Amino acid sequence: MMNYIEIFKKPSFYIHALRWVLYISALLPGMSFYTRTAILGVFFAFGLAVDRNVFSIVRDTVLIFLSIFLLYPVVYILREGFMDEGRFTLDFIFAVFKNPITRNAIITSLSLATVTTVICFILTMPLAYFTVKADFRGKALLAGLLLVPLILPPFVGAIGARQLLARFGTVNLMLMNAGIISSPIDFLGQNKFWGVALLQALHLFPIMYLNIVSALANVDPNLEDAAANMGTPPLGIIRRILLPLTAPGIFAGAIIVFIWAFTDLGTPLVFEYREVVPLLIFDRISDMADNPEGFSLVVIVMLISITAYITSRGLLTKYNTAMLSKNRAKAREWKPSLLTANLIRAMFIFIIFISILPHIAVILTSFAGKWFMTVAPSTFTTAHYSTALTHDLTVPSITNSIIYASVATVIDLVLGVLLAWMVSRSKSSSAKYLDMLAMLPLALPGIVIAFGYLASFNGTFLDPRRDAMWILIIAYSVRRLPYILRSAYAGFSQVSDTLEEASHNVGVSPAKTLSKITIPLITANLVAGGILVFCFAMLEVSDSLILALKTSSFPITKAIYILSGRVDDGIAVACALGVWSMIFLTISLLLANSILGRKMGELFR
Amino acid sequence: MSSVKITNLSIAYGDVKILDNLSLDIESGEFFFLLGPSGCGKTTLLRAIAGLGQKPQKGTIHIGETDVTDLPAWRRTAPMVFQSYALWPHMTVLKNVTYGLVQNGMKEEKANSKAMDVLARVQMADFAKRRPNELSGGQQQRIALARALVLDPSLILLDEPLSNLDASLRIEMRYELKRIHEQLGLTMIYVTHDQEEAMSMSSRIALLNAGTVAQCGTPDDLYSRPDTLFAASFMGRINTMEGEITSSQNNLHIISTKVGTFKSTYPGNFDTGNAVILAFRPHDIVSAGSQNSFKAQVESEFFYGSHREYVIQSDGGTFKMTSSSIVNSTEFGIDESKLMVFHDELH
Repeated sequence: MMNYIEIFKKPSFYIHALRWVLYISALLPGMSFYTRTAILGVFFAFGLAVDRNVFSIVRDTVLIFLSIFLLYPVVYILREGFMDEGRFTLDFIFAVFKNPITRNAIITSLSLATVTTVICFILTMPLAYFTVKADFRGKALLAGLLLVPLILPPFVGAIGARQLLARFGTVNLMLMNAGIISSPIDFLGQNKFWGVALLQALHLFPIMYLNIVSALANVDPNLEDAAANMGTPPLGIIRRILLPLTAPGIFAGAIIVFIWAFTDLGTPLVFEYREVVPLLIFDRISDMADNPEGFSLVVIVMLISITAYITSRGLLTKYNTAMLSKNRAKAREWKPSLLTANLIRAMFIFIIFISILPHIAVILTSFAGKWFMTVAPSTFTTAHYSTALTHDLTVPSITNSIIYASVATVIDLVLGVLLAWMVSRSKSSSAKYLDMLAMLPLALPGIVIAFGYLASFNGTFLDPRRDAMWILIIAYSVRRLPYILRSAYAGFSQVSDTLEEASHNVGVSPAKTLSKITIPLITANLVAGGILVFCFAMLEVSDSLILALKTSSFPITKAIYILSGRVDDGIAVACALGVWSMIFLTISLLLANSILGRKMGELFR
Repeated sequence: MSSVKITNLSIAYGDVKILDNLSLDIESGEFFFLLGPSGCGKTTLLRAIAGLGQKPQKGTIHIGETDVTDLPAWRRTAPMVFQSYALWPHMTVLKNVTYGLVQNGMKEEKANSKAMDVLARVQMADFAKRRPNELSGGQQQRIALARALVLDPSLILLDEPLSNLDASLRIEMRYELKRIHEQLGLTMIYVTHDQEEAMSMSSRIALLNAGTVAQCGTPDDLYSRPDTLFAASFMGRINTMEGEITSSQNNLHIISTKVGTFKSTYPGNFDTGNAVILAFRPHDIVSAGSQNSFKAQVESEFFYGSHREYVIQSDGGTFKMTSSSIVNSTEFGIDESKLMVFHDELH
């Protein structure tokens, strides 16, 4: 064992100590963006001076990127939320709970998220059970189609749903024509809560589905056989064996759904449901400099999300270790009778249909020449599609989105591959901490990051009030880094170390080995991860709505939002644009799914 | 031709010592074996020679005249045949073999012709266009060997290269490896836990135990004149019996045991009164022998075709004996020169 005195004798110890002092100071508030970056530059240069191996350089590069664009905005938000003229205070937080408007918004948002999660669970549990346990024709296709809502931007769906649920929209007219009701139900007025919850659930249930499927598939069927062997009837097995064993996995998935629903900005915005926290935050953006309320709300959202996320990770870890058993058998499938199989298929098709109904409405609207007081449009036109591709608002937004998403994907691929390589190949603990930091965006809602960027990059060249291009690219890449990281990491762990060692062994340097051996072997994972990142960047809502402040830098989602608020043909053009992006995204996701296969589910846990 | 010299090498993972101040001299041109039970550090030692894995905390490694201790793996010339073969699945057999040459600047054409020569040497020339996953274990094994040979090394490392093959193929590959060693005359260092493999192929063996060299010598040294009971029992099956030295002079030891007084000329220093363990191999027990005779009853018999095995019961314990002929006596004996004597470390 190394003598500790020896450590203090080395000059590198002091350089490292100095480096970390510099690093911490760069995160402290009160200096300009440029000073901060310069300090981190010195931190990097000192690192080069003492330790010039690939791992340290990669580690420092990734650390600096994440520090500026992830840690610092969070530190900034925390400071604004807890500091008043240099003193720590909880007054701002208390103020949020004292003010009836903000207090009610928090309660409403929490209830909304809870209801959404419960709807998701009820919709998915039977589907997931049959996916794992039953063997029927068409299962793979139906299970794949079930994921479609995930890639349809929920707030585009919300525009469609608004058409369906309007006072004289399709649903009310059909109910009245059938004589079930005599006067229209006011879905969009008093009952917005349920409308938003249902719509969010229809968008988010695939996440729950993927988690439950994976939890169920992980249960060793021998455990069920053992129970049956001791005389437990089938329902008893579900209740006493399956549910207790899968509960942590299911709960972990539920928490992810909860966070998404709790922080969703798009859907309530389209429904003009202003009584939820994300919308209050959205409304505070313009006066963030004078009003601390925005920061306090963001802090509360952040703390709730992070707590929930950590709980979910903890549950999963505990669950995964508990499920770790050798020689476990593959899940056994039961073959249902023709009638049962048809019932199961009907259930899948019904839920798929319901979940894409809003998007069907979007498609109908996009083709509608006239649609007023009728169940379906009375005349059809393709004019909106050409408008969507020629309009002076949409054309630049399409270009913008493609540029933003492409650059973000490239940044993520580079960072993700390097970081995943480091985590899987080096045993050092610093790699693990860096990995945790890079995964943090999963717990940080888009509104938190967007709000943090707006506040902390105020006045720099990244200020979205000047031009949102770079800040949006960075926001997209930071938020989606975990996806690339996961898929690259999965790839690296499949490529055994020995394949790299064998290359070193015949005289090839580590850097060359990475490009000649490792990267070619994980290409499938990288392509799939890249497509996912690209898709999510294309349809990202909260960052786009908050950070794109000038028309010239609007991405597609913001253009759709602005268009949908215009009278005359605005909604129809917005829907046409939405359909264009849905077509594009469906193709991309099917591509990703065919490359990544079953592993796709692991990206949403 | 390269010799390998290991001096005071220590490697630890955290607090766990894998190699403990280990030294070895391997002559150039040797077919040298690192043998030992799992966890003894043999693979760690081989990987340290290649520059893979944990860096040594202490000690040096020389390949030829060069101190390679601080060189990264890719700057050493010590190609290795990995236990899992580690063939790159995204390349053809030919590309696998030429990779090391091409990446280090050789023209593809020249590398290809060189690789084809080596593939012919391992009888795999017809498989050059295949992918590794289209080959059997034995074929992959040959490719892994070709990949190392193509670099014209003077030293090759082999990490349990035959352990993933079935029994008959394993025997066949022994001949093959020995032939290649003899033809090319290069230094080969070979890790195995199979003592039969080590004895049949090696010029010398280092038997490792708990990160140190328990004994180093020719196969015959280790089998017939082991220094310790550990070496004796690792190198082959053995019977043991407790005893006490009654006299020891001019390398003739007189030992009293439960079944009578035994004599041994085994090398070693003992004092009167020392507690010892007597050890002898099953085929060294003879029926009705003239030396060191003792009484025992045959308890059961096993027929193996080429020989028979007997379990015999004496007052000193149960022993195994093998014989090519049928045994039905109650008198047995052991040659004085075949009776090993070790200090009994438990007493």
